[in-house]
Amino acid sequence: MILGKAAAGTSHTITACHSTGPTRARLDSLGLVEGERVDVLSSSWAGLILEIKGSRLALCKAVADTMEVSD
Amino acid sequence: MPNCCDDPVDIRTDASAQAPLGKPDRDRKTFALIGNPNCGKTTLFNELTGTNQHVGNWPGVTVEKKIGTLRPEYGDADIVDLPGIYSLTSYSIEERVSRAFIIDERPDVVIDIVEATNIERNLFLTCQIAELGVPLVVAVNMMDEARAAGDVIDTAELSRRLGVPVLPITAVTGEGVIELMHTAGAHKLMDAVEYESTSPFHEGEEEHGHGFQDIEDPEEHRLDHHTDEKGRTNALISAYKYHNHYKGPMVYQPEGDAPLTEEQETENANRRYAFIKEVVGASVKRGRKAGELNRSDKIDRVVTNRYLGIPLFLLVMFFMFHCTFSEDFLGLSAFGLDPVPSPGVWLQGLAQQLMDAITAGIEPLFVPDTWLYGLVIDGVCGGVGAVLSFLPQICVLFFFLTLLEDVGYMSRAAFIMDRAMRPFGMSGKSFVPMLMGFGCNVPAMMACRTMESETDRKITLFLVPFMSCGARATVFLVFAGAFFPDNADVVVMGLYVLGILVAILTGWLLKTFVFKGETTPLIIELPRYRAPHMRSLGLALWGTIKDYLQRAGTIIFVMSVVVWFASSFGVENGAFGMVDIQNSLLAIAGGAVAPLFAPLGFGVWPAAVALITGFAAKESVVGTLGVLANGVADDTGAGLTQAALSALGFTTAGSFAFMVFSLMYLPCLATVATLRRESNSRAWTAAQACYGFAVAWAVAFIAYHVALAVGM
Repeated sequence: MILGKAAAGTSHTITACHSTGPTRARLDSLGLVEGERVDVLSSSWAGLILEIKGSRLALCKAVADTMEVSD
Repeated sequence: MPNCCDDPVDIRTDASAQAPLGKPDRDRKTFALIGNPNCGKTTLFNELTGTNQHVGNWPGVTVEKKIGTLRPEYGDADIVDLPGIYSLTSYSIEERVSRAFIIDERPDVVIDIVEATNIERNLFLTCQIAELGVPLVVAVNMMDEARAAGDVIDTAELSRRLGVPVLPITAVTGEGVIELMHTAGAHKLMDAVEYESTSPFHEGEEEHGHGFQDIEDPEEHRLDHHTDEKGRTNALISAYKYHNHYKGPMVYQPEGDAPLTEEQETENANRRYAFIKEVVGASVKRGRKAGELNRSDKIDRVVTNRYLGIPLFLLVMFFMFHCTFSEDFLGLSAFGLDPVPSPGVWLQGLAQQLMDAITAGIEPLFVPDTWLYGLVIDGVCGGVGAVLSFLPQICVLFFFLTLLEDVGYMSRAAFIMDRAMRPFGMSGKSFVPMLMGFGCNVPAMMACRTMESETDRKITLFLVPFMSCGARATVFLVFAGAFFPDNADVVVMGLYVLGILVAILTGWLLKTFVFKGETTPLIIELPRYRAPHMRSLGLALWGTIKDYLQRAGTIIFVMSVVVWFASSFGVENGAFGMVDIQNSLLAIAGGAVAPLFAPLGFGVWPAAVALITGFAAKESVVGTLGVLANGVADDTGAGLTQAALSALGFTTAGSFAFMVFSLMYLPCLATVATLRRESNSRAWTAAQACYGFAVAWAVAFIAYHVALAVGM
């Protein structure tokens, strides 16, 4: 499924990331890499707030929609 | 296995012999502070140097390197505070600045600050720095917060597994800082380090095989074998690796001029994070389970809520303006009671009384109706005094801005505004510098360096001058207080919101007609909410006061004297001398420009002159009006009251349009210079100035006629 559609309170594993260029590099450096577990803390029209590696990241919908996750 | 340590001495000698890449001639040691945004670097820098650099609880506060000298108790060295970065890629200016400093300037020791509560993500940068082979000491900062969260961090185990010294510190209290600096001081460039034959770094080479940095021939890595700078840089990095204990994974390195492919970059990230997971798993025990909501998360559920986010943002802004500008803070007048002024208005009243007392105290020292009396009382006291009397209100405004920044709200504001800005082709990432512009446009423009997209950076640079800075707030304080005393807070907040709307619309125009393309997506770290540090708030306020006093004592003082001179002297009956203000040089010059503003409702020469002097510094608008009010309207009482401003030719509707115009017309000289430097384009700077003036005129025209229509 697409991370952008994940509901608050759910946990997922990143299976693929289709971003490219600087966005991909930024996601990589923040730990949003394949196989990583993320917790969705909040999901709203603005985007998602995730917990990953102990930090909180806010992603806009456009980025979240490029990431595939599994339960 | 390639033997990379056969002859480290030769390589070291050669490396230091190369002029462009060699260690710069320095008498003193240089340490560099590096780390993720918001990890406490600047707090540590302040502690180490005794300086008062601004510290914020959001990413991007430090955007250029700052250099200081260690306090004696911490050693004898210079220290450089580098911008906060997440990685050493080269997608944004601050990443390039940090990378270039480490590679080209080669500090004696790099001190990498790692946030204790966010250790796994922070170690990614640590790995990248360690891969460069530079002498590295890791400081795990904010240990107090980690302990409070129930986390246990075994820094000795971290150190053993990483292969670099790791020390626990709490920069804000100074805990562990002495030990950190002693360790850094003992860590000498290339001298103390020895090749560790058991390092997994080297064991992995055979396993990873071709494609990874694999040093087959040490001769290849002699710097004199490379004529191009890129080749020498890579060779230097390779040479450094002989002198490193770092135990991280092998990663792809660029070969020659060819950058890594995206797949290689991602593979590198995967390898680093796999290594980090192993290291953290063995040395950190978390007191909280992943996914478990902490206090910050619970607050965020409300603050970033789909429906509540933007209304809350507006409410927060209104409360800030209400505390600063409201004459009826508690709304008591609605119940027929005497209004209680807001803290800002109350303090401004006290400051005005103080300025009046000072003026009354020195007035008897001068003979009335002489040029010296005019210079000191009308010029200096009228101009500088008018500006200074608003200092307390500016402090209240800055107190709230700093508070919001300190507790960690600003990143949330950017996040919730992202979706609102996206239909206009802009990202919440642009909103971060725009918010900073509420304080001062100059650092806000510098904060644009954190933006990866050059197009978005240029657009945001163009938009920042529409954000009302503290200096422009002084103009609003005067006019809103004088003409709209019952609704000053609403009027001022409306002006701030107007600035944001004009900026967003301008961004949309630029994105639609000038820079077509996709909008950079927002990826932003949300720092945990923190109770504000009184010291940090105090330092920020002191910085504001110092800056304001400095400007009052320099540029405002000079402008007040110039304005007084030009408004007191002129040609009358064929002779140059002191004249009536209506015949002064200033009246003649201002009168020539004033018709331009007649359609806006303030086509009077004092307004024209005030706007012209405002180009030097926006506070000069108030200073100029203060001088002119003393000259024109001696019988209107102290300060820039409604009576004094009316005597200068301002009406209620005209004053509203004047505030709108002041908000958007030419930014001050310092902002223009910064825009020129940051955009590296005279044309872009000129375009902003011309566009700003045109938009200011058009919006002020509309504002004036709307104000007339509603009976102002």
